[in-house]
Amino acid sequence: MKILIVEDEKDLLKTIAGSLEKEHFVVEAASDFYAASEKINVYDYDCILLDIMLPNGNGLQLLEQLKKSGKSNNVIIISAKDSLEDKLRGLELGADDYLTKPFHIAELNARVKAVLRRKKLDGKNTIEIANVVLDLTERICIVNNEKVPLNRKEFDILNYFLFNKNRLVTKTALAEHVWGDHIDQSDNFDFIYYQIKNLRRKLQTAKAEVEIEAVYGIGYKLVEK
Amino acid sequence: MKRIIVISLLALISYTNDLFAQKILKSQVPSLVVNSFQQKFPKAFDIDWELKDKLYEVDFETGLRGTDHVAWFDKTGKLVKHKEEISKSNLPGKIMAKIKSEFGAYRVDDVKRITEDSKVIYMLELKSVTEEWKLTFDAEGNVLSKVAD
Amino acid sequence: MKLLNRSLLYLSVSMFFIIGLWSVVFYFNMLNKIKESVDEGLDHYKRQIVYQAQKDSIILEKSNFEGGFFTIGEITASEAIAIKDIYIDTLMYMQDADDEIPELEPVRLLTTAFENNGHYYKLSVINSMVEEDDLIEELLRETLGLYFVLLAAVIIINNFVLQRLWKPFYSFLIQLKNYRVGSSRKFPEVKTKTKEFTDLQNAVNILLQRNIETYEQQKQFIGNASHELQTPLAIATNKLELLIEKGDLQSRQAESIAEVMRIIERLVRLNRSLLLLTKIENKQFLDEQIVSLNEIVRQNVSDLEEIAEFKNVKITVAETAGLTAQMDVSLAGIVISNLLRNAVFHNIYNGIVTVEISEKTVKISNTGIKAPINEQKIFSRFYKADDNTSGTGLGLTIVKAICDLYNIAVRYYYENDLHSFELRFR
Repeated sequence: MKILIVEDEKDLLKTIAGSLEKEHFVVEAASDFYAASEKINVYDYDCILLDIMLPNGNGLQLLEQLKKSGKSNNVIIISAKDSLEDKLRGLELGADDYLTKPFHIAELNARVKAVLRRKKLDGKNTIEIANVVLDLTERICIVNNEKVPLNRKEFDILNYFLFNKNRLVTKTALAEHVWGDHIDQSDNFDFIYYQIKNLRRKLQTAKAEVEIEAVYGIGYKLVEK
Repeated sequence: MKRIIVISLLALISYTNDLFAQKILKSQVPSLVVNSFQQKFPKAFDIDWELKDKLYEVDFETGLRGTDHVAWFDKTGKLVKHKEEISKSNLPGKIMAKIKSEFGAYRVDDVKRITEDSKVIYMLELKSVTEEWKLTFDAEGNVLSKVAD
Repeated sequence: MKLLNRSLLYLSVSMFFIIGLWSVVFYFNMLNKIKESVDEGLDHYKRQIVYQAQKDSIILEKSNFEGGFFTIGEITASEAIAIKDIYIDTLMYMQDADDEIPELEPVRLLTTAFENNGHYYKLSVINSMVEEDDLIEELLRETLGLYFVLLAAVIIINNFVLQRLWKPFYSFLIQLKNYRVGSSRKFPEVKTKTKEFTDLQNAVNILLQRNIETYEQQKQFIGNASHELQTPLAIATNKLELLIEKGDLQSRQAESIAEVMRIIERLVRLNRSLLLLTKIENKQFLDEQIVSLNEIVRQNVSDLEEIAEFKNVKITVAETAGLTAQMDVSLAGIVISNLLRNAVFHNIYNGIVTVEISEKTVKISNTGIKAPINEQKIFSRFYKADDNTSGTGLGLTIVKAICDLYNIAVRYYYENDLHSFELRFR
């Protein structure tokens, strides 16, 4: 899987690249408009992370270029500007998703994987890890061929963890992903611990071969047993 | 205001003319003098009083044309002397005849009649282009004095 | 004190003194004139008597004032010479038409002397004078009358003319009072050609223009600054996440990093809120549509279910009517979500949250601390009722900004131990 990151901020580029490489993607980078334009014309990528504000040009122009060649549906726009016009324009031009800076690594992972899944979808929209199968269309969880009853939020949490296998998922990232962006007063995430506890118990009861580990009290990590 | 100007002007004139002349107000003039004056000249106006050599000299005008008069009273109110501006035509015939015969070439000007102790004399100026004379006559037409002006 | 009344006060006080002074001067001038005229009359009368005396010596016998206004008495010559005409004010018993018995009346007395046939006589002539206290009384009455007439005139002029003159000013003032930088579209306008007022309008408008520019710049600055912060914050978050992910940390280091991350998260939230506020104030939400508040409430309540359950807070929704509004759907969501989260998070164990939706209102009430919160400050930026929370203090400010944008009346009140927020749609 080949991913192109178009981002002028070197530090951010490095961290994103580093994180995606951990997921065993092939990562290429372009830090200005011309470099990006050239790479897009020459190579095919499975996913492109595109910053809108670029030196020498606008990311939306690149998107137009991609649309002309019919390759715009695997683009995730990454922008500091949470502007509705940009968002609408981007989605209109065929971008798959729009991610506003700053974001959590886990969130980026989840979005990238969602894009890739949609792209490589061969009728079957499931994630499988060890003996756990998550059917995203039916929204059911099957462990050892038996259905595990999960409520809506528990399903979302597990889904998020499966997209971020072996990766750190911070409590904030989880809260924002599952409970929404405007979680202003969520100063303590005790309720997340409570949710995780329930999920763990259900997975244990179903003898699932995955485990949600706590990481330094700041987040969790899903690992295979 | 006008009165003040007139007063100060008169004061200046009397100062230069006669150091002893003293401008006075009507209220400072004895009643006998005032009443005598008022009875003798009931139609006088523009009246100015002066005290000069113990006599009360009063400057005034009468008539529509403002004929100038000067009268002198003593302190009991007796009229001592009266000088009056008159027109040439009012001169006694004898004087007119005299002027005609002796000073025919001159122009008669500034005629005054002076009455003093029931004696009347006339004072006039005779002018030609080159000369000017001041003459006094008695009522009979005799020249009493003749001075070059 | 209003300008009108102040000018009235100044005018009436100065008029009082001017008229007072004028009446004193007038009184003395008039008295002088009267005396002059009386004196002239006396002088004239005197001449007649002196004249008559010359013809008819019988009047020389008149030695008292009875039946006439003069007396004559013979005096010596030396006495006569010493007399000068004098006029004096004196009093004499007289009977006026309005008097029942003779009264002391003021008279003007002229004393003079004259000579008649070698005899000297002293003559006194009198003429009645005005009574000065009568004159003063009359003058005072007239003066006061004049003063009040003038005062009435000034009041009328003030009320009709000045009020008309100042009318544009007051209307301008009202416009200015209602002017709000950032929301008022039209500058206050003075409807007159009076130069002072048009000058004032120009000066005020220049000032307002500058204010607006400053306000816009400030808004732009906050927006730009927040945008510029996004990328560095992204880098910091992501680097720390990767660092912690590596896992080879001692627990104390991890704790420190976790602490830093929490701080950065707070920064991110704060920044995001500021951006949102800027966007709301810049009216950058264009996606207006008919939204159902009932649906948004239900959605948000279900999103909060787990949190409420965890906090043991019971949320109940009572819908008596369907409520829709024309607004941006995400902003509608933010308003409801912020209020609901507020209600859940500032609640007590075993507390309740009730949502009531009626035809025009959404009311969200919750149990909480048993004291009202300062309703003046509750919607202001960065206000926090309790200092323990790490919230941004912008949640309710955002609610207020959105409500202002859509003309929704929002108010807070504390009643029956419940904190309530009511949204009234128009």
